Amino acid sequence: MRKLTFLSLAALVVAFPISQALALDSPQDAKVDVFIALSVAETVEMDFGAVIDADGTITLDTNDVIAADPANIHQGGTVASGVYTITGQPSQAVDIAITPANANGLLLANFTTDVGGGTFPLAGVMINGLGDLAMGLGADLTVQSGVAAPGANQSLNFTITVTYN
Amino acid sequence: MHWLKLQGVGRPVGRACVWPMLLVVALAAPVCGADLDIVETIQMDFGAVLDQNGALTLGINDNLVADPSGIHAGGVLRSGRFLITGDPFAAFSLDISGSNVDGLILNSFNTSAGQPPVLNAVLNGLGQLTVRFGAVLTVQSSRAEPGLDHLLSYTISVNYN
Repeated sequence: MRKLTFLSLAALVVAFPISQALALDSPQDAKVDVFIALSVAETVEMDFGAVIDADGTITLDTNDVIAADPANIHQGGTVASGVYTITGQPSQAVDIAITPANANGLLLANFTTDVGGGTFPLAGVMINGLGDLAMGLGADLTVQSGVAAPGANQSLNFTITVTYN
Repeated sequence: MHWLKLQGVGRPVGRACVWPMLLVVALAAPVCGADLDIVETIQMDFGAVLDQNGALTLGINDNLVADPSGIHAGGVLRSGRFLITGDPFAAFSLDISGSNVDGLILNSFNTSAGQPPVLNAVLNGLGQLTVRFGAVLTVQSSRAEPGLDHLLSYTISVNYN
């Protein structure tokens, strides 16, 4: 009888230490990078100066210079390469593309830039540590005299698309 | 009497002793296995998002399920992966609670074991279950701050059935 009582107690002693935790709350962390939303600001508007209403193409480089004018259609005026500032997350890479919206016999094409590889689309261009990327812009302007109409300050529209790489 | 009969066969086992022993055995048996444990093998990663209002749904296969506001800005998407261990073939419940800190809200979890709360997940014969997690991340731009590697806390709760 005494022996069995001891065994009973032993069983109790053995049972309690191996009782387990039935539930577990485990704290965890996911992660995410939060980037400043990209924006594009025009610092200098691209300006081809004046051209005559004749068929031809001129090339504006990124240094305010008409680099080519084989048909001699450029007629002076102020020439300015475009300058744009892209603002976003510091030290992050972006991709940049440009799409012209050609109309009225004035066609933009072959955009060039002084950042990245120099031609579009650009891939993996770095925003600097302050969150800025300055971008010079040039392009070809083709005049279709049968479509274009004379007039001052005619708008040449294009869209710059910037996305994080 | 039964008591006397037991004594007569040379087994001096009193009924008062037998029942506590059986009771102890009965109580001890179901709880003699391993504690439930959770080990993260891959951290859930939403990559990069814009500091704009919107919600992003990360699936359980490293995939972007939904991004109606277009706030995902690249980076590597990774679903969370966890190894849950315990008693072989044991059934357990699993639930996940998210967080709402600094304009980053983590909720609406999904798992490869089902939509939480999962009431009857089962460990395999080795006492293991690998579970993949996805979730919805909502950005409140007025509260969120740009920066890298923001931590999004959540709690996984498991409980033997």
